[in-house]
Amino acid sequence: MRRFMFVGGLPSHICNLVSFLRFGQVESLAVETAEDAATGGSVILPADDPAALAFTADELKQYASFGAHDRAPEGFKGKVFAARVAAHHFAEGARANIEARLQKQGAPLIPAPQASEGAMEEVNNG
Amino acid sequence: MGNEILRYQQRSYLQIQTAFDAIPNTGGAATVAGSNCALVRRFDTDAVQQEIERSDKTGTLDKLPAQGGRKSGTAIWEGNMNGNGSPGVAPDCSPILQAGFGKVPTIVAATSVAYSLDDLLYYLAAWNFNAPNTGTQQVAFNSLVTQLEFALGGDEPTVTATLEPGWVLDNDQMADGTTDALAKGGLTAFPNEPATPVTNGTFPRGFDIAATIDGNAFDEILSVKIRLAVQRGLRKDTNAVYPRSGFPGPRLISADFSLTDNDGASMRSLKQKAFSRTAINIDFTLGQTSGNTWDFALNNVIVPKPKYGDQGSRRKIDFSNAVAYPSAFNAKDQFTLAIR
Repeated sequence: MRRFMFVGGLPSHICNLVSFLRFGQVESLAVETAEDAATGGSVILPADDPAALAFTADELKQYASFGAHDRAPEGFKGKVFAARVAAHHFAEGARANIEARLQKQGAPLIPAPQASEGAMEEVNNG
Repeated sequence: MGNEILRYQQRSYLQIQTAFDAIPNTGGAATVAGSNCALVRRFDTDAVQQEIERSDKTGTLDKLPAQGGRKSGTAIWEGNMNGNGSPGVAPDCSPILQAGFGKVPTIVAATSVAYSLDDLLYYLAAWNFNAPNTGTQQVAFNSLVTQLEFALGGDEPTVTATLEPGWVLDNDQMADGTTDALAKGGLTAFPNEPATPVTNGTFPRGFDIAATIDGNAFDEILSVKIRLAVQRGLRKDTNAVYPRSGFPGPRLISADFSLTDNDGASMRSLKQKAFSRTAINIDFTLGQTSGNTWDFALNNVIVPKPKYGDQGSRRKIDFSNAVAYPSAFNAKDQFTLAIR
């Protein structure tokens, strides 16, 4: 398990597990779950990432509501941008890790088709 | 009696296939994951088999049983335009959009996701899961998107995709030993729905439209429909029961939009351009929230002649089937969708 911070702009749900309903929400997740969520569009990054640590407790409290970001100062907006870029990189890394895990499971990612192309494989199948 | 299948307990999962005939898998086990989930308003996936009626004369007025002919499928996917809410992160329905536009979206981290036109074919494995998992679960694979329609103006903005699947596999077929190999798409078992589906964001209000037509802002927009129709398809004329390949086809991008009529200069200019068949650019922007602002840009649009009708106490004006054209041969710049 590892702690992850949500830095998205609208709610995100990992159904049956956790819902991210506010900016800066931190949750403990299994790394594989977090990687699947990140590749699925949940904007998260490890809570110990420098871009996540850049937010002060006051900022996270004041701008927890997604709608509050419009009136936030430029300094905070810059931190949000940096955190989302970091989340983007985390998602890219997660995608690569997932691909690697799948390939490690033994078989080629996409097996060859099981019948030759153009084959007339049935003539009278109801 | 078994458990009734409730229509609410349905979720779609969308995967881009990396090869024809191959539902994404490792060693026959499907790789569909929670990250592939996209919420739907409606999702219908049906297998289709042609009936070949026998024309043999039987010596009676009755016919002999028909033979099973070519197999294919139909699918309609309709969802709300749920943007992620974080700029630069694709919406959950992105595979549908990618397959429709024929191009991988251009993503600028923390800034935008942009879909533009190209000629590429992307085959979708579109999973249709319904609780309980003991009921019929389906996957429409080798699916091409032949039309996208975006509907704005109501409360919930929607995107509706028409899919042409090569086949619709389900868990009932998978459990039947007589199902032939091509129908299984490389799978050795039908998966259960992933345990932790991931869904993101919400839709902008469908009526929150900013319209810029020929450089002029219009505040009187009532409704908008934008269609991307592509005559791509699967070959059903070769020596095989299942389609064995897809083919690209011509695009047609068109829009219908309705406004409240007025006597302003911008409206008069629009009407004049319709009559003179002068190509104009049209931009419809839906929503205002960062990461959930959908910008539809239609270029070189020939606007049809206006039609007038009643809309409550006012007169409305309809422009139906305004067609967008590229700026040059193969420019493919007549339509873009950017989510910012």
